Amino acid sequence: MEVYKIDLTSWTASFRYPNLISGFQPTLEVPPLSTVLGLINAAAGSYQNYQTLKIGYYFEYEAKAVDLETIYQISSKDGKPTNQAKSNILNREFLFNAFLRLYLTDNIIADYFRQPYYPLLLGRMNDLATVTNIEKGELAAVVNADKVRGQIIPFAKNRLAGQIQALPKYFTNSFPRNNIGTEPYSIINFKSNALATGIQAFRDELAPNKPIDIYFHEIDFSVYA
Amino acid sequence: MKLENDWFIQPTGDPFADVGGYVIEYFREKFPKKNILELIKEATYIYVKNWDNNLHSFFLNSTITHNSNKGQKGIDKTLEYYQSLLEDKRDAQEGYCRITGQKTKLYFAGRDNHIMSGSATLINFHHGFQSGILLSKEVLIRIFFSPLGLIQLGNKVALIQSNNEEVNRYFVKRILDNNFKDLASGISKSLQKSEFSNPANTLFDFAHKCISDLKIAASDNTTGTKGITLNLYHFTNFGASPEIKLYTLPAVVFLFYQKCLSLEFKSDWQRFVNYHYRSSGFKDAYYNDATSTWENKKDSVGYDDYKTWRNPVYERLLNGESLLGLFERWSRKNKLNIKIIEIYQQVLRNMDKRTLQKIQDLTNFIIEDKDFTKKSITRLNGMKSGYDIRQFFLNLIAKNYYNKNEKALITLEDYVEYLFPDGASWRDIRDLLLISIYQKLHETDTSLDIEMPELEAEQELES
Repeated sequence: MEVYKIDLTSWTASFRYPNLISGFQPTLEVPPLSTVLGLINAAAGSYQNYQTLKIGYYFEYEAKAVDLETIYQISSKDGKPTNQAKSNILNREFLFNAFLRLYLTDNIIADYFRQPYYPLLLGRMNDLATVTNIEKGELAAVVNADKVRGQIIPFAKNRLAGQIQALPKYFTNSFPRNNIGTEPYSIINFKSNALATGIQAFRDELAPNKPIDIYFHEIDFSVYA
Repeated sequence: MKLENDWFIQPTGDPFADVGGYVIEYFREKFPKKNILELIKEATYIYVKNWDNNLHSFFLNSTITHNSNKGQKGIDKTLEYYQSLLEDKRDAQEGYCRITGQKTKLYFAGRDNHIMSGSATLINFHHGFQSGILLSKEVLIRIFFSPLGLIQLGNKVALIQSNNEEVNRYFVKRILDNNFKDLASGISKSLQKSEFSNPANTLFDFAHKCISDLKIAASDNTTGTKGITLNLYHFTNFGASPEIKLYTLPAVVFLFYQKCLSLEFKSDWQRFVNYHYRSSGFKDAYYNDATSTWENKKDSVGYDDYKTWRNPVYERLLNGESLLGLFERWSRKNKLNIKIIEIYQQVLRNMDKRTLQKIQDLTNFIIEDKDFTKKSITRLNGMKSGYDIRQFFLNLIAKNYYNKNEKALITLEDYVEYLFPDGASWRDIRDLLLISIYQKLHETDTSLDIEMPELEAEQELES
């Protein structure tokens, strides 16, 4: 399959567990689809209305650590925010020296990353990312992929080992934004040892002797219309 | 009231909602004639009448936990709330549930009816200053049932989630069985309490139970199991200090642990693990291998007591830290099946089989000469850097050459590809060589008089 490979790096990255709001803030070890599609929107400079989309990605990092972060909590009255805010602290986990490779089949989307419109972020606004490489390549199909890691894989049909979480695919272009396409995924860390999966994937080489099997998410957005 | 779908029990990926789903599944089996509202009533009675409204680790100011909701008032308010949800009589928005993904009526969830999703003080942490996260009634009801399927671990609540449905169901069922047993005896006052106090021991104990009771296979083509991960959520949603921590027992650790518990290795592995239990409250203790007890001058404790102590073996496996230092230290005086270490290196450390074979070859060469073995152990123990072990190997190569052996001991390929491949640690190679030498000495019942330095591992164990 012919693909466009977009490489991004960042000093830090942090991907929230969607429904853990209070207390310690752990990070997912791979970004959800919604984060990656948000990244494309930032590069494009506008909300992308897809009908269908085929996309794969791989994510790795050098280390995981915890940062003590100041937050501001805005008080509310009758469900509405007031202009009163108080500071607090929380511990937020973050990933150091992150690397994300996107696999896109559409050259228009790939071209957005040649000159991104908005800053690209891997998590919070200070997790600034840089596009380090864009190239076109050919990936060979792999049946029963056994090098699936650094990715999220739909859980229902595959039941792969990993952190299991309900993650959204995308967000609406409305205010407030609403999540769409939420379903359970296996979040497979890039360090996970290879296990046979029965998944059809496509083989890439991240570096010499560093093969990786990329799962392509095929999203039909019409079902969420 | 007819249930339209299985969103009450279908796995969602959300650990709290899924535990609630398994509890509902259990309740449905136990009370087959009752509808969901009647099941909510059963749970409410337990929470209010038996547990005295003590759900503070889960819900803040809920229809049960608010101070004004003691007794019948709590029951009435709770049933009224969930009935109004079921009958769609509450203010709702149409949209996609944040947990199930289904398009349905959604309700705001906060600390009164959901776990760890924040309160009104975190309004700016929700999209567009919404008052909470938007969830379906099915998820809110599942969350209400979840305390019955969870366990108190230390000062927080523990939840274990796996990619294997049978494991998830087993975790909840064991707790519920005990809850109902205690309810029948009139002694259920709150959540079931774990016999452990730390997540590491809890996870390995649960993995042990899955392997022995469920006969669960880490990788099984007939059931489609592709490795088993156990994720432990250790949390409290209590008052002003909600907190959560996640611990993961990865699939490869589960696989390794399963192999260690096989008949071939269990005895060696258990002795190794038992020796590493530590308790600051049991001073000057030593492990008595003959009786499998920990002893000091005053007391002697058996496995059922010391299994709750912290164990650096489990901690290192969970943290992805090497066990080689502990294996090496243990091997000095104890026989440990070398296959355990080989499996450990291959499964967890991705070591090439040929590296292990090369280490065996080097071991065989070293132990040919008793004096040389003694000198080699002393030298290996005193190594401070990768340079030292490289020099050691070069000396072995030279010795092999001057011994006029026809076959090269270490080829260039062995050296580059297998002894020092990219990313390999010289300490790992050193430790493996020492372990292999000790193993051979045990096998041949050879005793060497060597002064052993206290290794860093010993000090770390005591810290």
